[in-house]
Amino acid sequence: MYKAYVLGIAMTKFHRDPSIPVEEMGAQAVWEAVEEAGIDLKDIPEVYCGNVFGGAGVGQKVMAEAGVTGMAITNIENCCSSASNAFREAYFAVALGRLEVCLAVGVENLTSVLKGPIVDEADLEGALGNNFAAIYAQRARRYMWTYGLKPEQLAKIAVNNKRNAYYNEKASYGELIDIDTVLNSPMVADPLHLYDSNINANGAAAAVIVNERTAKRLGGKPVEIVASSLKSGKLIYPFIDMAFEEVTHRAAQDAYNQAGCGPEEIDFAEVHDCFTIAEVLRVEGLGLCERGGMAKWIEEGTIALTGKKPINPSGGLLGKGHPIGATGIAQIYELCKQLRGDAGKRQITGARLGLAMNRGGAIAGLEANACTVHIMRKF
Amino acid sequence: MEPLREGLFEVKENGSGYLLINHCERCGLNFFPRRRKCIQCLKGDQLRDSTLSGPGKLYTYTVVHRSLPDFKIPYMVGYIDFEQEGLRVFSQLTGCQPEELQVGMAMEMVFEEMDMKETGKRKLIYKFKPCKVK
Repeated sequence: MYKAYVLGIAMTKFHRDPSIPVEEMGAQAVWEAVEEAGIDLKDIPEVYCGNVFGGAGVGQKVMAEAGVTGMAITNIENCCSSASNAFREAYFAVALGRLEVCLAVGVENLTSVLKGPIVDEADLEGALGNNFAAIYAQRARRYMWTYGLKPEQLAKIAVNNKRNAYYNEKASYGELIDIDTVLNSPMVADPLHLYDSNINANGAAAAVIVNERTAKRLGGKPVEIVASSLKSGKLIYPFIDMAFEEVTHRAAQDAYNQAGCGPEEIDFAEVHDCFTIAEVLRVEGLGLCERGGMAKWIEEGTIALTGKKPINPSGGLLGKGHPIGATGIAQIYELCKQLRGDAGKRQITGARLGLAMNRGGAIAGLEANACTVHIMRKF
Repeated sequence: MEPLREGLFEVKENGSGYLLINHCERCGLNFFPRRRKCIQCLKGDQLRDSTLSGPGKLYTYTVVHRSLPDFKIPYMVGYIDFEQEGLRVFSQLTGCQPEELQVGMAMEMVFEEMDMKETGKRKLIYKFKPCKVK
């Protein structure tokens, strides 16, 4: 394995305007990422594109709009983790020594195709009404029954992430709210309210990954990628503990082994907070917090920007919105901003090692279709 | 009324019924829906058809207030554990008020029309309701 770095990273502001096509958003992110890296778009030898609902050839549409095609372009769908999967393929293309430069892009126009919750009616559980809100509500119920977590404590996660997003110019759902705003918002799936839930959104993000030689030649602000793990859920048999995330745990252990570090060395994390309870399950699954310990962390402010282990400094999915094919690279964007010291008002003091955890999908019988964990280090 | 899907369950004339499961005699595992190969030995030669009628225990549940346009809201769903058989089944819940549901309560199987708005396609499905206290 060779060292690999993100040299250029960009994301569009996330929004809900269905009129902007994927190629327009994707090209914007690609142009900005390539410009920041100091690389000519014509010198990009390969592109990986994450997208879910855009149909065939989204990567080709994006690159055609950007103005250059002819290189290898591969489209990747892994539900809400599609972008981090594209990033992972671009990373390995460089880290395994095959390429000096590679581009990953993720893009989604979700509000033009979806008006409500995401559910796959071809899936047996989906056909019976087990949409994502229902799945997470049932995990929340079991976690609360097991560990005594309260709805007010879940609400504090939304308060925290919305506040972080308030300081992020790329986020659209930043707000300074209190827990009553969350608890008084309409119930989606008991015990989860509207403010416990992420928002369908549109947007794009792109990353230019380079090897060490290229990073030294071009200068700029490289951030090193030190781990990339991807796992799928195991067939649930016979009984999985829904108050703990086995897939997240397995992907994290693999990532820590690659990085040669433990969870205690991670300074901050972007985790896939599609619902408030998801942040609880993920932080514990990653081993950042002990099992059942999140209620205490929430109360003590450990996860706040100024806390000992800031979680979702960008505002997360709850604060930014969730264009499912772009979210994974938007998490990497925040890791780069924080590790370069460019995060402005939401800068975490002394951030050296950051983790991004992104996951997607849950066909019947699997805890998740895909879960990625990336770890990045300040250069 | 047509079942939601073929091969999931059978209902007798008196309205009672059972889920269609299969069992690997080599590994001792049960499967619902039925599988073509056991997930432990990855062979199908020892798979035997069997049935499951319950009761089971409510592992977790929720009341869904927002869903696709076809669904009548709110509706109750949950996972039912069959500890002896080693199976967990996702199902719509019925026969009680939402506030009566409790993690760990005993649940029995019934067969009802799916909780859908009128779509012209009525479908029969298994559901679970709290067992009567004896």
